[in-house]
Amino acid sequence: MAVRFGVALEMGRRSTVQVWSGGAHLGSGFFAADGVVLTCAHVVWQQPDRVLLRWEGHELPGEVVVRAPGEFGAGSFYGFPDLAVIRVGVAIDHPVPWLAEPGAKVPRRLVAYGFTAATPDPGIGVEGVELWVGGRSGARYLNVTNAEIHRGMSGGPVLDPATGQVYGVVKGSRDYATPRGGWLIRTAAVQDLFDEHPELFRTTAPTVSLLRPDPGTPLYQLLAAQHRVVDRLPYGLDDRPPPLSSVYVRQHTRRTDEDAEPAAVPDVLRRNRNVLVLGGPGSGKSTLVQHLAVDTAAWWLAADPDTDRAAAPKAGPVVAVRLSAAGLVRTRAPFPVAVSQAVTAELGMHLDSAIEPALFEAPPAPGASWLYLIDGVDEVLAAAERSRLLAVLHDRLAEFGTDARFLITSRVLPDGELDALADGVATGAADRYGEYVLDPFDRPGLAAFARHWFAWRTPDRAEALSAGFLAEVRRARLFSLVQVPLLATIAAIVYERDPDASLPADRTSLYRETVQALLYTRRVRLSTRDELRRTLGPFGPAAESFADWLFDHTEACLEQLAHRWLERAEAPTIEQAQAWVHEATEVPAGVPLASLLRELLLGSGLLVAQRNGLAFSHQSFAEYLAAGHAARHFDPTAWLADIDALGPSSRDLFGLARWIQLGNDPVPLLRRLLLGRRFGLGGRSGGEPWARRITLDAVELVSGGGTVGAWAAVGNFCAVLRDGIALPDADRRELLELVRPNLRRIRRLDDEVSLARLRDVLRVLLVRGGGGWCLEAVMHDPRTALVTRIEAARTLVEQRDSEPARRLLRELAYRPRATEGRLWAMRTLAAVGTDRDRRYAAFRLGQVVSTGDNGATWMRAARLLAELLPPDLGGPDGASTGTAEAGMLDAAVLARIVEPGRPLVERVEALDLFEALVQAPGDEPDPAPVTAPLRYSQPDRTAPRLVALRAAAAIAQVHHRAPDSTRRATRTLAGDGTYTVLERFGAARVLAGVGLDELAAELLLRLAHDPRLPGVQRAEALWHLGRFAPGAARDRLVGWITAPAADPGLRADALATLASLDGAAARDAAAVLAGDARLAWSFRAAAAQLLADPAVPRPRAARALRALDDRLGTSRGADRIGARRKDEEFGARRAAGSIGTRLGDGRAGSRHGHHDEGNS
Amino acid sequence: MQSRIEQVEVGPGETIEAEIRVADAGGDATAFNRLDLADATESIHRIGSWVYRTVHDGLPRRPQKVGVEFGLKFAIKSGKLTSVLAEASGEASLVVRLEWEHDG
Repeated sequence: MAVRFGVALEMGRRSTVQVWSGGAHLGSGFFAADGVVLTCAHVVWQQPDRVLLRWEGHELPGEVVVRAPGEFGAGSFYGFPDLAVIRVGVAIDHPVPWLAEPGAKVPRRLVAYGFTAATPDPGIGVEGVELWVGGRSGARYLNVTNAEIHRGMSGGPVLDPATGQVYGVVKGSRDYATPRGGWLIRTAAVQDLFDEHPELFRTTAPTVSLLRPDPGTPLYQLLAAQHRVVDRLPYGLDDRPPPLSSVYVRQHTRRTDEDAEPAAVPDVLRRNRNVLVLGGPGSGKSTLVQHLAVDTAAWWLAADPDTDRAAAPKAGPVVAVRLSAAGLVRTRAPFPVAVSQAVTAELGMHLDSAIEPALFEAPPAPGASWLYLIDGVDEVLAAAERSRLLAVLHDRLAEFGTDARFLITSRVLPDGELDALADGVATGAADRYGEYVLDPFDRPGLAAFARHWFAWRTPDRAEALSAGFLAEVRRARLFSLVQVPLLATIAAIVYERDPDASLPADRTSLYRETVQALLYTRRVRLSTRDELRRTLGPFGPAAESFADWLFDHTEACLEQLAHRWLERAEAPTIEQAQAWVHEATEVPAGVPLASLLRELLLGSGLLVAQRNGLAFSHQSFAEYLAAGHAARHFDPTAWLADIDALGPSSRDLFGLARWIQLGNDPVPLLRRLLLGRRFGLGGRSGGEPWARRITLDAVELVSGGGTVGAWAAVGNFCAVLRDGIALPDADRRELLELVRPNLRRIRRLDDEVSLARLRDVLRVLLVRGGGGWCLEAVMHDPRTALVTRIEAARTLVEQRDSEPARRLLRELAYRPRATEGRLWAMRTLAAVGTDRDRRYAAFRLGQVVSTGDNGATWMRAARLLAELLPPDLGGPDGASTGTAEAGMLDAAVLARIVEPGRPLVERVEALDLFEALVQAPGDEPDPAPVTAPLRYSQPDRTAPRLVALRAAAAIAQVHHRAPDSTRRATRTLAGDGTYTVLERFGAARVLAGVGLDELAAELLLRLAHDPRLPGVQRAEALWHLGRFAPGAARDRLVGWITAPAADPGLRADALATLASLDGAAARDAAAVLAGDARLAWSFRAAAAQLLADPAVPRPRAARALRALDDRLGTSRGADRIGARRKDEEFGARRAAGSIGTRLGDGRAGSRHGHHDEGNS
Repeated sequence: MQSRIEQVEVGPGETIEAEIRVADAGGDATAFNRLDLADATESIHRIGSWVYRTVHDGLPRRPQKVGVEFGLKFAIKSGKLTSVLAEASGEASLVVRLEWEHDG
């Protein structure tokens, strides 16, 4: 989310805290990370570790955990860096501003915040001053001018007003009384401090053990009532509804703004403070809310802590309170009052006394928050009311430091109405708000549902019925309908009633069956009819026939009520029903109509009583019933216009289906739908085929790239198909023929959402529309976008195992001069093709990854290849589970990372991708709350040093999976002149550091034997080798030193290196060197002298030898230079002595020298 | 030189307000300096022992009675209270009088 000007600065201001101790205000500080306050060390100097933080009306205990430095020092200012870290003792929701990258250019103008007594307000107030950056003050502070820095502002954040990033911490004032500014501590010092104390950020929020409420307390009462009331299905479909807790099937959610894995709701709640859950009608939103309410209530109510040992409810340390959005808008009271009223109304008689607003003004228990579950924002039908509610919720979400969290559910509302909720909320902390879509049942989910449902309803036949139900769903191709939990429930009830009859194939019929059953065929209802007649009997025969009329018209009455509710937002009432009856028929005198209607309507289970009137038990039932009214007044043109503007709603589809059930022909309407609004003439039925074809061509010609219209047409048509419309074959064929040009017009398919939409459309066309031939035509149509063709083929392979479709995919993937689409074809083949297809596609994708020159192409290939991997490679032993594809991807990206010819920028790209793709085996995601890491931007990422180190880390990471390619990569790295030799040593150290000695040795030995390198570096390579393989390094060094043919410079370097690795071996080798007559006298002399003298510390000897290396190269010339001659002759004389007399000593002394080393 | 009024600790939990010289107008911008009078009294010992030593060791004949009177002003140095020698009659915050009687 973009950072908005003003909001960012506001976050900075609001992150500032006051530091107090012993009743005295010490200074300021700010939240620099989750639960961590940064201030100046001088602020807490001479104060105890326990301090008090005051922030936005809260008093928080704090503990000083770092003081840098610990004492004041000698100067008149506290010593550098003058920083202290205070850990906050309680978990509290607070903003954290971003810290500027330490190397970033400091803006000219900054704003400092801090708390001081020097404001006009009494007591301590926040002061914001604009400071101008003068320059560095020493190397370590920033010098600022322009405004007064008052006493008490020390420790406050100094921010860039444009971005809200923190550039410094207030340290001192030049003059408290005049606007002469002062000094800031730079963020570089902050970073250094945090680098030294990584433990500050690894800890999770302090854990508080939650105390369960005692029976009799208001909280206990609330939880107990909620547990009783809410543990039922949100719709009264039947006489014997099972408790929710016994049939609930966990559904997953996924984030709407990224291509993310589905996540369980408790995890979502751990990651996000506030959550919006979106879902269609009957998708399980209310069920989810109720489940959360019951589940958390059960934890809090557990009488015996041993029965529920979990440290907190699954949803976290929260008390969940269910509130219907519609109930919440009825009042305009302050929030706690509104909540208490809504809760009291919903729990009604299950409460012994009203829940007081005071309960919601404080946290429910120490360490716990309220989690308000606001259900069904979309069910607030009046737009003005809805936007008022959203505005209120937005303000609540934007608030910091409260004990209130929110989970809000809604259907998607048009025109981005729900965006108002998040506007600006996520700024400053990414996990404050998350938007999720509730996933429908997948097949295992549906199976679990069937198992739970029938186990409760028919325990003795559960297995058979559950299996039969699933088979019937398969036969009737109902899966896409019963993925919706409510429809699954309805279908289960319909099936259970008569397991031998077939299930209806469309949604409207499922609802009709259910409504019919609820109203007319249930045993209870039959007795209701008799009851009605008995009640009205005494009023005469007219009254008795009125009883029949009333019973038979229950549905019509409900339709009227539903219509008025959805159309005019008039909540259903008995008075309305009464008025309707009076209008429709004559009511015999004396009949107690109101009470009869009440019983009749509420007894249906479709209406439920609420404190303020009646409500439909589920919004979708209101929609089905209202559609009965709509179907009688159906206007195709208005219907099309409506769909065109807003897409088909659940209500529109009910309306169409019920209009068709009244005997109307839908084909002309659907034709118009598919031809788009510009071609109203298409609505005329009975056109000649050739005429239609001309029309189609015209459509294409005129609308060229009309992707939006095409999406709408296809999407709307598929929505109708999915809803289960029954069409004669010929008509269906004609309509599908009209779909093709629309698919041709869809060109933009570069995001996951469009792709998911396309797949969905194609599947519906094939499965619900019987359009196998249509998809085949699409897949071979060269005018259709490649992705569409590939997906059509994929759908055919998946659903029909079509070999021609597979052949086409191969052709698209591997034909010469293939275009962009080929990657997608490969990916698709790898997903749905044969085993051979899979292997070959992975191989070809790997080729693109390692050699592709176009950044977008190779990255895409890498991503596609990554998707081929099984999602879970589980098990610490990655080697056994790693597939060929995994190794292939690693090898391909690695080859790219180390390719010497590639610019560093591209290698960094490859590294970034690599790190994103490769997860260390056994690297479980951390289940603890995600503590925000310090937020710095990166240093220069294309610095060769960094690239080399990261490349080595990459090699180390995949070594177990692709040993051959890592060896190749290591060799390439060794010879890569892009990196300095030192950088390559660094890479070797990384490898050795993780135990890959063999690879590190390979790298170092290649450097050691690289004749292009100067001897000193070649020798240094062996020194590095000596750190983990001393034997190998020593042998090689000795080899060089003693090889008469070797370059004298190299021999000297080798000797120097050996001296620092192994003194004894060096002495031995020096003897050989010193005795080599082909070397310059001076070198031989010095070597002998240095090495024979046990008093010379070895490092110095090594340095001296290395320095001699320079002389060595010119020594033959230097011999003739008079000035030096004397020295050298002198040296030679001494050398003669040394060699003659000390060599033996040297050998003898080598033990001695060794002994020395042991002591040092 | 400016001066300002600060709380100075004179014993556990007890403070007095004292006028403190500040070398310049700024400094570490903390709101609270923990100043302990004990930190400043060291100079009394030093001056006392200097006077005593001077008189005892420097003079051929020791006087019967030695007295010294000096003033102290308070200042903050390195964040701690410190005392500065001042005119005994002038603006000193504290005037100290020491006397030794010698009976031998």
